[in-house]
Formats: sequence, structure tokens, C-alpha cells
Amino acid sequence: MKPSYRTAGEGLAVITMPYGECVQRKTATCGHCQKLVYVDAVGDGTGELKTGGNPPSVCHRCWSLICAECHAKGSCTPFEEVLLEIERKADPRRALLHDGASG
Amino acid sequence: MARRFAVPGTITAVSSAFKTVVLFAGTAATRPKCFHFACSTLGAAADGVLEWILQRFTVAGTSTAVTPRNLDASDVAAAVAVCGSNASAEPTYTANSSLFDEGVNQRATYTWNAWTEGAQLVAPATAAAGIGIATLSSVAPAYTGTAAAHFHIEE
Repeated sequence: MKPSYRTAGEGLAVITMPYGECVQRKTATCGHCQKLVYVDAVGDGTGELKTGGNPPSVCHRCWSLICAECHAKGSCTPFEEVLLEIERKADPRRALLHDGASG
Repeated sequence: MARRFAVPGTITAVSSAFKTVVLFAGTAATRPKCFHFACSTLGAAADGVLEWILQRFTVAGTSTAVTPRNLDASDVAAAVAVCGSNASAEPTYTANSSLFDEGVNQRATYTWNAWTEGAQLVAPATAAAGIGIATLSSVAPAYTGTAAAHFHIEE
């Protein structure tokens, strides 16, 4: 059974607490802005996300886990597109390359 | 094949205003990607709280240059990304661009690792645009000692 969302953004936070205990929390990198959010997924990720805390939303266009701020915007702009836009502004010649223009 | 580098940084005096501990920036030739970072303090143990923040910037400001150390000795020694520590002129951070913002007890160490390719924190292939780690301590008992942070990046 496949997970109900893209798992490409998964990470792990390890916090060594003040008196030595170690806490591990699964994270997701927002697919739209790259903010790190915590994911308390149940089991292998095929179940529902655990409620409470700061559960990320799933974008139903790119199926990435996204942060609350990006979810509130209600649009889908994958971070790759954001990067390309920054790079196009910095170097207009890239726009020609990415848009497939020649010459 | 990506080449991986460590970028360590420190500041000697944490204050009540954000000060950048370490940063990395792209160039037109590369998109550096952070796959690991860690934040900690080097002072005497006490129960101060530091706020750590990762933010994107568009102007790198002025900092002490850091030469990234290659994690695999068989890789080329020099990274393309530009890295710095202990900013004397803060980078121009993009408003509302924090990728991470947490309060951490000064006795604690916070470490993050990307598990997958899509989890990495990516800087654009644009000169002087990148990601910095900054910290402050404003809640009593304030911490005013040395703070250390590092990125591991690949490009």
C-alpha cells in the first residue's frame, strides 16, 4: 500500500535534551516553501496523520506535505518553481533556457 | 555525484538580537543543498533559552569566510558555494522566510537530518542568495556565551 502523500520531504530532528535524554521527531520539508514541520505519522505513513501538535497538510495538486502558511494560501507552487523564478530574475538568460527559446 | 561539505561557525557573544552564526550561499554555477544542521552552545551549563532561526537571505552581508571542509576526502577539496560565519553585517533576510524557528535550552543540542532528496534545504543558483542560522537569547536567564552551529551541504 502506498503512502497517502509524497514522502520525498522526510527528515529527522534529534534533540539532545538538557539532562541527556534524546528525543527524535520526524520532520517534513514543506513542498512549497521548505519550512520544516513536524510529522507525527502513524505506522508506515499509510494511515492518517496524527492530530495535535503541528501536523502538516497535504497539497492535493503536488501531493507534498506543506506547512500551515502555504496551506492557507490555497495554491500550489512547488519550491522548484520558486527557485527557477529567483534564478530567472537574477539572470534573464536562464529564462530563455527554461522557456525553451533558442537563439 | 554530489559533493558534500561541512560548514562550521560560531559567535562568541549571543545577545538579545539575532546574530548570524553560519551561512551558505549559492553561485550562478551551483545550488547548494543543506542536508544536515546542528545548533548548540559552548558556554557553562545553565538554563538559558536560545531562539534559533534558519532564514533565507538575498544579500550575504559581511562575515568571516569559512572554507567548507569536504566530508569525503576523495572528493575535490574546494566547494563552489560561498560560506561564512560570525556576521559583522547581517545578511538581508527575506521577511517571513524562516525555515526553522525554535527555542532550545542552552544545555540542549538540536540536530536535523534530511532523509530524502526532497527534504534538503536548497539555495538558488544565484550569487549571494542562501540560508543562514541566527540565534538570540532574550529571556532571563539570558545566555551571553558562545554559540556554535554548522551546516552540511552538498552541491
